Amino acid sequence: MDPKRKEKIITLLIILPALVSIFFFYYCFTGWNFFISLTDWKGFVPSYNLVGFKNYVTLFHDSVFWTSLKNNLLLILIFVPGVILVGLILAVLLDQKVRGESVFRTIYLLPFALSFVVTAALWTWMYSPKVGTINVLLGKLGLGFLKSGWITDPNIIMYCIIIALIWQFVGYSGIIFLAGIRSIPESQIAAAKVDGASSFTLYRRIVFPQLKASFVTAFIIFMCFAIKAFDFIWVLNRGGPGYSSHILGVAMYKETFAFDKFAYGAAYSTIILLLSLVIVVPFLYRVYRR
Amino acid sequence: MRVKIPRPSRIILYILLALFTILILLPLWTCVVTALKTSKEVILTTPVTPPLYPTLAPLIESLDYLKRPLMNSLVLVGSGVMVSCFFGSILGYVFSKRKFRGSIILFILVILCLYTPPQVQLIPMVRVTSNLGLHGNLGSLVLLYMLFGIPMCAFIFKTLYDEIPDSFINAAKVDGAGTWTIYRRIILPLSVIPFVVAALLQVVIIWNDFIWGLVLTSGKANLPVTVAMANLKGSFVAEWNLQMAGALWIALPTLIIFIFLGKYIIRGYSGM
Amino acid sequence: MAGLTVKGLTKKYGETRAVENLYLKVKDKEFVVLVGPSGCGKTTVLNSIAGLIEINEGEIWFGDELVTSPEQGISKIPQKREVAMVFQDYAIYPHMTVFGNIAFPLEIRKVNKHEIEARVKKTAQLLKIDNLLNRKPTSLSGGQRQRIALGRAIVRGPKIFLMDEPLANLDAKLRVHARVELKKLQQELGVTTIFVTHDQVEAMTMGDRIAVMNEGHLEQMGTSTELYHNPRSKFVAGFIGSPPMNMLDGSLVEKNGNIVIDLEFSIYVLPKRMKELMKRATPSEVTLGVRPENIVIMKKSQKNSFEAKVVHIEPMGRESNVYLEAGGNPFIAIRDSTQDLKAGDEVWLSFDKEKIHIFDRKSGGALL
Repeated sequence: MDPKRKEKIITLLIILPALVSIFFFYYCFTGWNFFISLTDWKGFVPSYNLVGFKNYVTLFHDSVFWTSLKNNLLLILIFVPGVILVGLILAVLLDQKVRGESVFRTIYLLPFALSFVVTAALWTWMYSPKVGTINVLLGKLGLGFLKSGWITDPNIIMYCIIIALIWQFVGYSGIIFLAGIRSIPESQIAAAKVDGASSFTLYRRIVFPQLKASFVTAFIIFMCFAIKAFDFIWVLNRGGPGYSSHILGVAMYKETFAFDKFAYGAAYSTIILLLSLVIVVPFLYRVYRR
Repeated sequence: MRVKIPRPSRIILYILLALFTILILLPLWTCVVTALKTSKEVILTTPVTPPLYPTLAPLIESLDYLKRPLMNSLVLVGSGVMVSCFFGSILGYVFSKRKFRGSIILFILVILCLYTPPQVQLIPMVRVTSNLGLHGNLGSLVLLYMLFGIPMCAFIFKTLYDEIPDSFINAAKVDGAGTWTIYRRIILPLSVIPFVVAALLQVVIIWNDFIWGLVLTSGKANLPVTVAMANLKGSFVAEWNLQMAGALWIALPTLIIFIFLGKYIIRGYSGM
Repeated sequence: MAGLTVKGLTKKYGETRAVENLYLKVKDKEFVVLVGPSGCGKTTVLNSIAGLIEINEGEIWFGDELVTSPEQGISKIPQKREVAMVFQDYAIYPHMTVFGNIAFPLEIRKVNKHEIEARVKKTAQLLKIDNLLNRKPTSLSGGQRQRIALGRAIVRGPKIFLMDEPLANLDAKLRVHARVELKKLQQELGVTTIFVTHDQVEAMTMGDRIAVMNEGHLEQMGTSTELYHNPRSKFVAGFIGSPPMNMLDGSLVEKNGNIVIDLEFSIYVLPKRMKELMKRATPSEVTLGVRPENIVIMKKSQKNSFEAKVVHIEPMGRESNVYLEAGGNPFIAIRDSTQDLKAGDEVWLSFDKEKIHIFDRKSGGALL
């Protein structure tokens, strides 16, 4: 055989098994999921009927869906900017020729090493109204008036969750920005200092404008998380009290696996996917335009 | 590393860093001290005071509960990491050094997988595993984790292979090596760090994963450790020392990886 | 062993033409240097010869073997061509020993163990790196790495050597030494060699013949003497030689039965024998070129000279570069002794009339 063709065929052959598997798993399943959302399939009974977009219509009249969507929006509007802002602050603090920088960096990253199941357990304990760490410490510090029911209070549970999630992700966010700051050439910083820039001016005029890539990266990562989140909230208290901490992921899981409404659950999944794509596709388009 | 704020503010700087350190460590600290207390002492002392009479009982009891799931998770990590790293390395090699017409499109499609929420694959996967007779047992998760990590590994390998100069490949071509020989003789021997980075990341991801175990397995003998922990949390509601001890067992391996091999993990996450 | 022929090579990247309709004929055992500014397409030509990139049009022949021809659907892959290549960054594999690196092309071709050993040893001796064979390349100097890369190319006994700026990463002193060594080696081995560089001094000193490229096409090919004394274009005249040739824009006119170049600030009377130039040169817009060593600096006015001012003198040891200015135009002249000159002096310049060059200002082609 023509050696050039042979090389091409070898190249295709070695990537084929992996490509076929992931395309089957990711793309076929995604399509299949969408198809299921157009049926009335209920769990393990094999028979089903095509019902068009009926599940979506039901979805838009379902108050649980709107509660969940609202909570996802809360994550997007508070958790995402919060974790980015605190991460940026940490990165700037660590950029000050800190003694023991790597120790601080490692410590700040520790929560990110943990499974959501672990962090949910830790924060259940932190927020426990009677004996939990926060209320006990507030009492000891003479701040008893700040005591609260925390995650048992439907009005503030989402904010408790957001604080816990910021705690878990802030080190990761900090690392992204620190890497961005460190990639700016030393000479630019030196030149700005020679030109008489104060630390504040230096960051505002030289450093932050060059962190655009880091901002975009962090934004995409945390947005995607805010849309598809499930584990932490589920383990914390199954989206309760009531429906107060339901998010789309939790509602999807409950509809599908607790109530066996597979087709309805698939409609939830499709909505989660669409929200993710709205964020990711423009990003990938920009990065790989050529 | 570069900008020095004038003197008095150095003190504020370290105070702020220490404050952050306390906030970050507080939940971990109460977890450790609570795991070493008897149920009585949990009620009598504050959650942050070290135990007066440390006991290993909660750790032993929770380990008993989590023993089998810990083994299960080890099996999942072992099988999943090897397969996804191997395939990821080959994909990374082709996407980085053997580009062909359309390869960039394929690569973007692989990257897009990284950002798809798991919820869209849950229902079809349940269907497939039950048809294969794997539903409920560990086999379904073994299969899943072999596929699941390939896109991320492909991305890591591609990024790290981009750092190998193209002239290595061209030189080998001129020297007479073909696609597979170049992979085996040039790329693979230079892949130690990419393999470490990708493997550690997969270990952490698979070990910590929860939703797939929750959906695909049932029966105590089949659970991965995170699902077993969630059950433990539900069954021993007020027994905080037991809960914290269980959490500690699961946290330990990944904490150790982050503390001692953190630089590799960071390389894996950078640019994602 | 074989010569090399490139016929009508064209390579496009999208709409831009990296190389356009290039013809190149390299004789057996010849050392040809491809030289030009960065982006002129010289590396594209080299990679096309190696088979690392596919070309859009043209043919490449190794001796009488056609190796590339998109028209006929022929494009041998690199590993089937008997070429060896040395890369600018040497492409030395860090995970193999020096021996492993040099042996690599032989192992790929499944040469037997004993022969590999013998040939690698012989090559290493030739390059004086036989004491390094068991070392890992990471600990070696630039000069040593360059030799390993060379060794890997030599060991196969290829028909053609391709070298992509192999000396560019060496420091200045080592580079001069390596030039001589490499040239000697090539003569001993007698292998046809194409050597790419952007350094005109390297090109002049090493090449049996030199091909000057600019913006994707071949400007001129010839020996260094030919290129220096008879540049066929303004580009070659300006590119070859250091300090560069002085260029003055002017127009050809007839005055009092003489042909002169009107330089605006002065006129230069051309020798009688150049009369026919008037007929050939349809455009009267020309550029007059004079090499620095062909400028005569005088203390007083003479026939066909003009006034200038010394701006700066740059002593180089054996000789000095004199920077001058006349009518707003900068000049560089080379002079053995400048003891009688200092900056600010008013002097008179004239040109060695046998050594002037005249180019068509628009096309850049030589008129003389």
